[in-house]
Amino acid sequence: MTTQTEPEHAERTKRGRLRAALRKLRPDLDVGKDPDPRFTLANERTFLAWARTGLALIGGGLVAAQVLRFGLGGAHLLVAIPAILLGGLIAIASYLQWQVNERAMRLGRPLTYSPLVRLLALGIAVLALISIVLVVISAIVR
Amino acid sequence: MSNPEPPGAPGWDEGAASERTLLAWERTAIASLAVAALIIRAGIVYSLLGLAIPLAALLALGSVGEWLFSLRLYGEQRQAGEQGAVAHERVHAVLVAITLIAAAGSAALSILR
Repeated sequence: MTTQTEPEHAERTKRGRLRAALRKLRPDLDVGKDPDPRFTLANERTFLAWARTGLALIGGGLVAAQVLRFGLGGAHLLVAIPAILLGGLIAIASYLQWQVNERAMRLGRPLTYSPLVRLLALGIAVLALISIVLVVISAIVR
Repeated sequence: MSNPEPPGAPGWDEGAASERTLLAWERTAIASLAVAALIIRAGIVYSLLGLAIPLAALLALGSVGEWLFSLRLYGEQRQAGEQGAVAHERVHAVLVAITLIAAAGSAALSILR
């Protein structure tokens, strides 16, 4: 009778298969060598700062939906929904950027520029433009 | 952070990186609670409490989880110099998932009003 090694047995169980599938989905962070913990912590704080920015945009969108009145039917949703969507998008992008940075640090590679800065700047500019257009139209209509 | 002490050396965390990270987690927990409060308010205003309460509860639960995790992290990070870097990928993923659910719920609340 052949004896099973522990990883082989784990692969055979349901939980083992699920873990193996999840491992494939995750980018490999077990590469290279451990960076200076301070850099890992700085990367984590940057991720958290972006996560808070995302939460703030979601909160701002909710407030916009409740408070703004342009007198143009559902026009306030043109401000609220993009803000909420931008918040969600920033949450996803910040996680991906955190992974990219962590991997780069482990491999001793230079960090790449974050696309989040452009995304946020562009998103806020679009929100400002929509708000200006709505304010002007609502002033004309009234 | 020029000429840093090597990890594990006494005084590696002179810049209080672990404390600043703890505070960053706590600020994030407070932000989650604030969004939960806004969702409850929207639920009351639009009479959509059936949607708002589970969403706010999820965010509040996430917030408590973040706070408890930040306390655990602090102890863990104090030893980070000896252990090497500590990455918390799953916790980050859970935070992103909660934020996305909050975003979807907030959009739904705004549209269904």
